[in-house]
Amino acid sequence: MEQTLFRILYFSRNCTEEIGDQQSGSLNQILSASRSNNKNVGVTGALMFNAGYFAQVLEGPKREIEKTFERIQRDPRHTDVVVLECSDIASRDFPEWSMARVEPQSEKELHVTGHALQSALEDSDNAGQDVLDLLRSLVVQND
Amino acid sequence: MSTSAEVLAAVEPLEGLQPFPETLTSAATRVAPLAVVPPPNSASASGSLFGPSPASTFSAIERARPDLAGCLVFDETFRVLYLSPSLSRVLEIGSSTRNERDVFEVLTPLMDDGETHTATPLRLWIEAAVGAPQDEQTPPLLLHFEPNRSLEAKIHQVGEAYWLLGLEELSAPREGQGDMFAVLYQDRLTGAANRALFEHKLDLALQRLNADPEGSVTVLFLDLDRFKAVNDTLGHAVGDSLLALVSERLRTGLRESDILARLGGDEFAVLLRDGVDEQRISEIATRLIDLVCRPYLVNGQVINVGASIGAARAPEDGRTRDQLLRSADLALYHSKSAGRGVFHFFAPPMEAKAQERRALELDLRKALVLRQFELHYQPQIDVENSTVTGLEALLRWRHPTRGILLPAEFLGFAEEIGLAVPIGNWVLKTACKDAMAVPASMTMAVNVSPGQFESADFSIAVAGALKNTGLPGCRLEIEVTEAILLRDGTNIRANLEALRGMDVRVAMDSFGTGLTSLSQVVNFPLNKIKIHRSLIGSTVNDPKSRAVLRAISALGESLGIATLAEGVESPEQLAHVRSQGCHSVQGFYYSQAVPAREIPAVLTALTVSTPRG
Repeated sequence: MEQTLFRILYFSRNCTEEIGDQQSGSLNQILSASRSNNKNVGVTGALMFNAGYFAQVLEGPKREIEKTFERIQRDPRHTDVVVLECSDIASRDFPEWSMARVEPQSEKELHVTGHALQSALEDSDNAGQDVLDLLRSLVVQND
Repeated sequence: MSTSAEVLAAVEPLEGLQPFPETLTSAATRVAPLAVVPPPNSASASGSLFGPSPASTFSAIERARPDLAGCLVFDETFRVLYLSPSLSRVLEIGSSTRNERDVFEVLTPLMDDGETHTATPLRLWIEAAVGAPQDEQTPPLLLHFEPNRSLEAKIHQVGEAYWLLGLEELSAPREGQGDMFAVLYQDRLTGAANRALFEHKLDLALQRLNADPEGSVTVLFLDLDRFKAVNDTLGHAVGDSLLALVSERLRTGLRESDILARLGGDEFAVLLRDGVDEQRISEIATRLIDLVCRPYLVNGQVINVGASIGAARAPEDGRTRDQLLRSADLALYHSKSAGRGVFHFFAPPMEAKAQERRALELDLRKALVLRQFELHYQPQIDVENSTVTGLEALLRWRHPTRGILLPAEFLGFAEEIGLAVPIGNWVLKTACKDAMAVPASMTMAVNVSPGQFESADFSIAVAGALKNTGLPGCRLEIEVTEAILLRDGTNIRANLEALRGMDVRVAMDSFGTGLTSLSQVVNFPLNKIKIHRSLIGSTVNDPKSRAVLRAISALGESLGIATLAEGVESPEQLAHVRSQGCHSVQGFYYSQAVPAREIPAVLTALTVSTPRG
């Protein structure tokens, strides 16, 4: 029986000035560090990077989520962190992923996800749910 | 045996490998635990029992005991006679200068270096050992040197006038020894330095600055914004966890050599000691603010706090500790009043402003006692029948040298220094008393600051004023500002309930400047909305203002909330606000605010020749 699950979803702005492959390399680095950390502590989730913004969902035991979130807060590579949602959850949305990478694969997808993210954020009452749905659908697509 | 003079003569040219007095070398081996291993090669001595020279004897000890960090010998004037190579390495000083230095200078890196958490105790300990009777063993001293590195210092008198000081590595404080350093110099909650250590480090940095005019010393004061609200709403345990996280975040934004201290409450200080120019300091401060302002997750709750920083540099902003700390404090004050979440360097005008504030504070504290406050009253007129329906009490301060001051000039500051409530209570009491002297058909409107309305005792003060003056609650109208909607305290709700219970009316003052939305106002139990003068003054010609005025009037109409237009100065404005549905007006067109003794005359004038718009 797993202890109470907790989820946090946040949105932040990339503040490195990297572009193209360099940026993709950094993202891989962030992901692999995050995956190795998360594996040991039962944290799963997804990270989306789109046009200078991050959206990340973390799910797992509350204490571990707190530690992981705090570590992420100290990362100088992003700023303007906004928590869209945080709450207890009954089950995980990303049980298979220590940290799924969600990245638009094409210009079209970039446009679509950017637009979806934008409208999700504009819908301030449901922003958390909308971004979460977006991440969920993209993980499935890119899988 | 050698005399003292001979010893000195022999020791002076150490590099020359001169024979060292036997008393000294044998003493070196006696000082436990330095002397656990007898010096090797002692048999090869050329006449002396422990080898040809002190240098070789001591280094032999050090070789045999790699855990030793080194030793030194000094005389009763504290002059260093011998310094072991390993200690030179630990201290990162050349051995050539040793003869010109005293033991305190040589041990400076252990006493004040950025990596070392050892303060004055080392000096006191050495002085105590030198002053102690010869046969008295001075207890060892635990030194913290670099993170996770501790040294134990032992001292032993050798002969009449020499002392041997040995340092031994300790991986961790020994059982039972306790970590006195932590108790004395660390903040228990965050592990940062405490005020005592911070001040000590600052003193040493300033001393060094005197010796090296090229150096620089910077103090940053950091204070959390909205921390009190966290403590109040989420509890002190969460507040404490938050402070620990804040401290850790600050640490990640600093270099190893920077000193981070928690001075108390939510106040932190940083000491930057080397190679930082203005640009670099700004970068560090900006980074610290960014780090602290990011959301926290504590006990499943997301917490957002802000941070303000003030910076002061030596020597330009202060040469002494007190001056520098004061400058940093003033710079912090400036940052906080400049909107928070920002960083400012100290600037001399801040000192002048602080003095002004100080003078104002002294004057304000006297003003109540010296009866320098007075209330002026402005009539409120019903636009339909042109009758006076009420008066608004307006606070004035008759300052002995500056003349009449308006609330905007002193009330914000009074709130800051905790005088808003006593002044507010005086206003309440006086207005209720004066209301009893005007016709019972008139209400009395009293302005209340957000801080006052938020205080738990506010409704008690209202009840007291009503009881003492005999004014019925329904004749009192409390005017609050939009700012109150932005605060959401339990006290505010409780006070609103209590006012309702006493039939006291509540009016929203100066509404329509954009701080809050109409929907927020709708959810707040109001009897009256007073429309800001800026919407009235321009309203006749400006279509936008007309639209806003009309919307507010319509809202009032549909919700059964009375509307009053402030600042009506002309018949055109009066006609206009009346056509838009405002119920009543207030302004120069009818009357300015007048002292209580002039109220009867004003009321008479308004009744006799009521101007019509």
